[in-house]
Amino acid sequence: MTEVFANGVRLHVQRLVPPPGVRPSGKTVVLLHGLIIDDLSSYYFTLANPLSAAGHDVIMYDLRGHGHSDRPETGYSMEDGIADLHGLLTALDITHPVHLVGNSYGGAIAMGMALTHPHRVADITLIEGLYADEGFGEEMAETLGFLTKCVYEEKWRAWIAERGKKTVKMAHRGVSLIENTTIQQDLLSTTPHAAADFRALRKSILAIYGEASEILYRAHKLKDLASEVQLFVLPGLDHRVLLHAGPYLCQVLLWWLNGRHGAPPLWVAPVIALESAPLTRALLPAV
Amino acid sequence: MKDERNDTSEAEVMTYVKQQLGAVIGDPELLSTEITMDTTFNRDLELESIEFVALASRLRSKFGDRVNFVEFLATKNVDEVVSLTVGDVVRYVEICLRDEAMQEGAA
Repeated sequence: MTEVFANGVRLHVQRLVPPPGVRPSGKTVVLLHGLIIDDLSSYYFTLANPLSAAGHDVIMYDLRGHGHSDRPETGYSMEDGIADLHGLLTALDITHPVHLVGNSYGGAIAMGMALTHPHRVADITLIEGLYADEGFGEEMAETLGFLTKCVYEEKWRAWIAERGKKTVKMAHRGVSLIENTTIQQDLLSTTPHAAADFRALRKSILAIYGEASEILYRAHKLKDLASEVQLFVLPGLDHRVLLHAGPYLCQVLLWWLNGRHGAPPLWVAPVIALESAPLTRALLPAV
Repeated sequence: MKDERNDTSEAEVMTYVKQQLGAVIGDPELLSTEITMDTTFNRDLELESIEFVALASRLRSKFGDRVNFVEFLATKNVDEVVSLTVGDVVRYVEICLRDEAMQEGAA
């Protein structure tokens, strides 16, 4: 299955079921990707297969406006994102609580879903995840404006062009999403969740952030706000945790999903070429 | 009943892969690239990750669940994935179909 109509939008969906011979865990894991220059492939090539091979039912989809899903001109608020996810679960006839994993902006949808439809959510994993607290909408809108400006500035155009046609294409598609839809206004008008909502949330949250991430402060803030947060801070990594620490994320997620028995997996630093990523600004996971 | 998938040759798989690449690649300039078994997805076709997912999905729909690219890619390191050729994919599909035919023959 690759296309599902949910909340009036055609979504590109990939679902991996446990392979033959593997006992199904009975757990459904939904993977939510980041904003603008991201799509479900970030998960397809990292977490999806190991999670499915371990017995979990894994669902990934391109958020509206991203990847191979429809790109309507409107409907990019947090509420729309949550309604899309809710519609997708309904369309797939999934009524049991699901385990949500959100990378960057995907974290905001996961948290929003848990706060507004708690009965549909078992627990939440935030990989460098955002969440819609006070000021979130303004921050998102500002970041999208920054991105658009970068793409038109000569020094960043050169930086993007150096990385080849594929990166140029991705950048233009991202800017087109910002310029040709209401995404910036929609995010700006996000109604934030109140601190009391986070305090009242009774869901376990696994939070994994990079030590050098610009949004690590958000993880600490969430730990103060919500009662059931287990925080992992990965040494030396920035916002691109999913890109650079996929194998370790798999280990931690499997430990988390399988009941958190024993000590969590030990951190082993990945061997990565640490190129600076001037365009990260909190929501670009894979530049 | 005889399953047509079991009779699919490498050349037929190649023809299908070419057609589907045409469908998933949006760039008109790249569409004019001559595609051979040695064409690389990354350097020659500049295929984006999401386009590779779409290609994999189309091949699975056509040839069945045995053609499992997630599993195929899981055995490869980053360098191997980056240097994948059209031929690698065609041969993988062809081997999957041959294995399936042998298993059905033995059953």
